[in-house]
Amino acid sequence: MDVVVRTPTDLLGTLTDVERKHAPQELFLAGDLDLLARGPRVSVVGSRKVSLDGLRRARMLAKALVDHEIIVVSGLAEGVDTAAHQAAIDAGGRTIAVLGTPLDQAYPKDNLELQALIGREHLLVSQFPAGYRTQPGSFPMRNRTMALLTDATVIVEAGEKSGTVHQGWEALRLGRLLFLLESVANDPQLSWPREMIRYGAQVLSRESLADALQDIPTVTAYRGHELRHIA
Amino acid sequence: MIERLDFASCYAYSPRGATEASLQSRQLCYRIKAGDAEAIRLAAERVRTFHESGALPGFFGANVTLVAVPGRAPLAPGASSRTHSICDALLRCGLAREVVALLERVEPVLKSAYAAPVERPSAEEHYATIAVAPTLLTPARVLLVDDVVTRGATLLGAASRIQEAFPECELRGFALVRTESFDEVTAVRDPRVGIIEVARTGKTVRRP
Repeated sequence: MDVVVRTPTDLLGTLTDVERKHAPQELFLAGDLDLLARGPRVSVVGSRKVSLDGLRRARMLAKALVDHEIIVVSGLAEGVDTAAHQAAIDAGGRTIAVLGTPLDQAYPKDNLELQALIGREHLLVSQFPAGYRTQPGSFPMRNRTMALLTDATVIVEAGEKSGTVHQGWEALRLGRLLFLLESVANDPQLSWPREMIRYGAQVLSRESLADALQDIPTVTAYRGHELRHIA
Repeated sequence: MIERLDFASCYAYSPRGATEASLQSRQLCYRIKAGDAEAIRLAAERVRTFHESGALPGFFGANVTLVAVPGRAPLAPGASSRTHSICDALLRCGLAREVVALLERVEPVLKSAYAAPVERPSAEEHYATIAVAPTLLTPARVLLVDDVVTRGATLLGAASRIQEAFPECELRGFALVRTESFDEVTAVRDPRVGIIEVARTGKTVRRP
């Protein structure tokens, strides 16, 4: 596996102060780097222990993103992440996995094969150098990086204390689009969806999906491109 | 509520157009909307050029207070206002006296760009969800600054709040980008001065 090292500034141009706060020093990349030069990119995230309905929704969403020529970004964890990557590949789309481990490790181990496939034909991204010992804190760090690298985040399903919630708040903090599937937004057991909606998260329903996806702008892929001739 | 506001904008943006200029207009507009530091810096420098050439008469100057128009939802913890960063960039270009954070969104409204025309928030809804921060200042000339103007309802709602708090102040609106919803864009750089007003139907209309 050929690994390329880039800084967030290489990929996104000048970062704002808000972006710099949680941005990693460097990113290790393997696969099709051209995926970084087109867009839009949308994160599909959710719990590891997910309901069957949640898996079905993750797959449906990933397929809809592919139909809109959107790159499906996720974290290659168990549950929602794996379903989203697999559905994007099955639908003939492109996908980027932002790992909570270094590129030379897989978590869960069951995803070793999928990770290798994504590293060959799509793109793997990690902020952790080879040999780095993965810690519990690595996963929320990965989620903040995923928010930084994508134009929008969609939360499919997540409990009250799920790590996915970190990514939702980071997307809002960065001023990126955040969508909550209607099923999670209306879950009376959860308090964070109401809070996030107050700060600008949008509810994505079956009816609003197509319009919302059509309007997701390609920004992250073009940042760093010269603008002087236009502005 | 005020019913008429002088406003200026510097770039045209076509949401759906297919010409090269329309495509470029989207690239620039999206990056400004996303708070991209480089796009905002270049745009502010371009505003200075337009100001110096006389294309934006009465909008900028040494006695102007810049006020950022709030986004559609309250700022999330740790977030920063992108319109405020546009104000800062304009100030760094010597286009105003000061930037003052006078307006704050206290409740979210539905995002204009994702709402069907009938569902888009009215100037009244913007007015109802924006508050003026307490201040001892009495600015003489306020320029409200937004990133992108569509119909102008946000600017009109925000302007109404400013006028209520400072009835004597001279008030204008500015957006870096104006949306040309049904047209191709022939030139992205296109400084224009016009008005936003409430039509007889009660809807906000923008010219140009």
